[in-house]
Amino acid sequence: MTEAFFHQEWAQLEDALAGTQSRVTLRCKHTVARPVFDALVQCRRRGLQVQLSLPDTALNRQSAIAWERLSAIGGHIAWRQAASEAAVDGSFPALALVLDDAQVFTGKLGTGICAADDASEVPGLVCWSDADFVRQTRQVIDDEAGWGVVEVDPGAALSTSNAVQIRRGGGAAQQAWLSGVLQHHALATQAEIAETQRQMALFDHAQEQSLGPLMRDYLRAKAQYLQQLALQDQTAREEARAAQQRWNDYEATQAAADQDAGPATLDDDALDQIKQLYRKLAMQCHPDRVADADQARAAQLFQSLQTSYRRGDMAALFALQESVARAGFQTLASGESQQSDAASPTQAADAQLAQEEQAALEARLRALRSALGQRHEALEALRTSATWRTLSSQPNWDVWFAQQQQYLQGELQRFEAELHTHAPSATDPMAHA
Amino acid sequence: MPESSLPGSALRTVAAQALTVASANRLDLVAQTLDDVQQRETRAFFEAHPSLLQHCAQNHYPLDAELLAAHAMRWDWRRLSASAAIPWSLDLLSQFEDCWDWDNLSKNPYLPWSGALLQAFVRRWNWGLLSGNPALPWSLELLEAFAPLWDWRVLSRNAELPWTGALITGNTHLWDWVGLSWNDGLPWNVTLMTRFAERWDWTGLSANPGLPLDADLVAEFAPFWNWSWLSRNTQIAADAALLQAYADHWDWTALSQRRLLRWNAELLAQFEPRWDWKALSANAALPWDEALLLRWEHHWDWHALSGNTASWWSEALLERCAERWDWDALSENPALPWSPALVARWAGHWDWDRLSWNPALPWALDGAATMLAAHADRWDWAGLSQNETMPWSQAWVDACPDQWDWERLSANPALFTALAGSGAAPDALAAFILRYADRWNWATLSGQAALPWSQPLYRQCAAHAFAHLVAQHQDFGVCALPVEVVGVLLAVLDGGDTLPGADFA
Repeated sequence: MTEAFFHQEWAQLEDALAGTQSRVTLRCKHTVARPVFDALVQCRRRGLQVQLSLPDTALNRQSAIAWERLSAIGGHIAWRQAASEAAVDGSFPALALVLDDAQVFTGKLGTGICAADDASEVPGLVCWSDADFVRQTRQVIDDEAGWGVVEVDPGAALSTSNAVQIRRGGGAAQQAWLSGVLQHHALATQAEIAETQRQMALFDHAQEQSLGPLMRDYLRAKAQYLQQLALQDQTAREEARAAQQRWNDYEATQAAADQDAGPATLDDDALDQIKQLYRKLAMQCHPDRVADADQARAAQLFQSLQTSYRRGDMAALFALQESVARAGFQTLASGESQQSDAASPTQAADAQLAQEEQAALEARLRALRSALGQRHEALEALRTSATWRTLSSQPNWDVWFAQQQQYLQGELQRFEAELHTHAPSATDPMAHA
Repeated sequence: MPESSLPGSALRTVAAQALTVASANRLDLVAQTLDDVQQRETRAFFEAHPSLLQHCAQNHYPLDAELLAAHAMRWDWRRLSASAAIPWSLDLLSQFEDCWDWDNLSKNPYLPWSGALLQAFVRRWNWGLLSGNPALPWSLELLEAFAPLWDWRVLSRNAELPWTGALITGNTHLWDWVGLSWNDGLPWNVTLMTRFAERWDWTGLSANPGLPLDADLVAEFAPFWNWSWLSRNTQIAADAALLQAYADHWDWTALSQRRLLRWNAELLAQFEPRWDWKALSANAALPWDEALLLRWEHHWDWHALSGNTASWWSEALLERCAERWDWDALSENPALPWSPALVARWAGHWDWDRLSWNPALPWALDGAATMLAAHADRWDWAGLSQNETMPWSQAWVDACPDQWDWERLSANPALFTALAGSGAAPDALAAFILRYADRWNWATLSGQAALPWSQPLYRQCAAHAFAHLVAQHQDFGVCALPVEVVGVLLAVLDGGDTLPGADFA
């Protein structure tokens, strides 16, 4: 069971840390931001067992954070050597945080909190509560840090002696674990892209209802005016051509978009329901999660899932649920490789995978990293678009539309007045457009 | 392995189709068009309000060297030196070296701090302020490189330093030991505390929440502690054994106020003669229930008890001890089960001045309007006007315009947050604001960041608003203007170039 957070990640994490009862283990890929470190110190002061694993780099050693604060009050810090970094760190998430051996957070915090982290990663957290996954995560971090499993007596945590029980998993187990992490992050990011696009579609529809006719008139009037200007002034030709092109493009989008019904407006309950259904179905029919033989059918169903979600079409999603059930896909478990079917994490550790199986696993990791990277780029592109900035910053879209209407109306009137004043003849250049 | 068979490839195909191409294109086109229109509007807006432009540019625009130089006489260099918006660089600092306020620069967290930057202007910096700037890349090397220049008294209080035992040991003659003792950023442990036991300020250590305070540490330094401060230290988790071991040392009044003790009936009984029962009466962390109240009935201070914010209050409890409560204290207690009915039930008992300032009154419940009207002559309207839990709206304000305290209303962010969330158009909002133009405190209102300022709203309120105060928290889109446009607009303000003619493109 996983849950994705892409908004206020730090607030989510703070809440989770505040509710932690016995143990916090944090593995950082790069460094720890001050607020996160302070939160760990606070956890320790509350009597929790606190473990921090971070790379032994100059950036960390010379940072403004006094690491000894945590050690002095009984926290554990494992400095990972740079040599071991190359082996696993490339695909590790920026942070992996295990709470009470019951939950794991993987991902990256927002830039406001972790400015020094890998800029190529998009902020976002995935929360895991699956017992096996939590156990595997602990094993990977424990083995790497060399502190093993620390026995905790919650009642006397401040004076806990560290009974260390080392378990060695081996590289293959780590990679299988990473494969699972990457796959879930890809799914979570995909869900976030779908939600972002659903909101953009909703905004597009509302914007078209409010501004569509006025926008059409405005673009037309501007193109007309610039064409008229270009007749008198050669230097205005390029601008006139661009305005004409924009009007043509807008008309073309109108024709195509008119065929697409507007998305449904959902209340909070319906939105929660549709999000849950989306995630459940994505886990079942995501092309990355089905066997090779089912890929084509899964891709088809997943595309329908995307469309239905964007439209907020609950009925279509329920119908899709039946289709997915009928398809009977055999989904792959977290971390399971299509190329090495026998390689479940524990088995991989025990069986010492052969070299070619290892190579296949590494290829899968590379491919997953690439797919995740592309999805992050797609999400980043959506989130940095002017549309997203507008729709996410405006508390009331109607007020914003009304204001834009006012602006457009003013500009339209000015173009029309100019056209009227400077019209060289009765010829309407747009008649030939 | 062929690319098509790699995981993720199928997803890449379908992901791109989640938003229809037509919708995506239309959104892009409309966004570009509205950006163009908005930029033109913004330019026209600032042409009409040049003074506002200057303040907005100064507070929010990433002014480059050219703009800084061209309008050097116009800028408030002291304020600029504290700016987060300027693209700070060593070159920029050099270019205007004589203009900057070096005190503000020394405090500015947004500079690209490095050893090289410190060295470049070594005689300009205020080293006392630098010593307390948390944004510096603090390291042993940095401290050593400029050791004679730092203000070690300030450094000693700076929790951001890379504190280690070695850092402290290596500079014993430089540290201010009082400052160090109060600093919770140090890696406090028994070794460190023992080594410099004679140097520490033990009052500071006793109050320091950074210490790993447990029974062993308390025992280790028992002769040194300032027990009054130790009793107040938020990190000490004293249990009955620890309390007993140093029973004659603890400050029992301070302990009685502590929330983090493991409060229970046995603990209260064990140290009954030692507790400060007045302080205990106000302590919300005790396991309050009727049994506890009855058991120590004659110890409680009923005035303090009436102000206790534990969540154990009920209407029955109020009723049962009605004659014993201090109704003045109850009137300002946010933990009571407030309802319009409760207010009405004890209308003759409340201190209405205190009641009016109580942030927990049930203004969000049904019957709040009736409650407001029914006791109109009793309320202290200054208290009500600053209340952030009222169901603020235009209608709510319009209902009793002569009774509000408009100074406090102007400063109440909840009113303006509610107006912003009401969906009122800027014109309607401006009409509301202007309806009471002679009542608002316009200086306060201009500094009110919760008011949903916009270009149309400012246009209508420009005659009253203070541009420099509004510009402290609003940029009115100035950052979207190209640098050359800002330059032209500022030139007009300087009385230089005239604006070019209207250019529709």
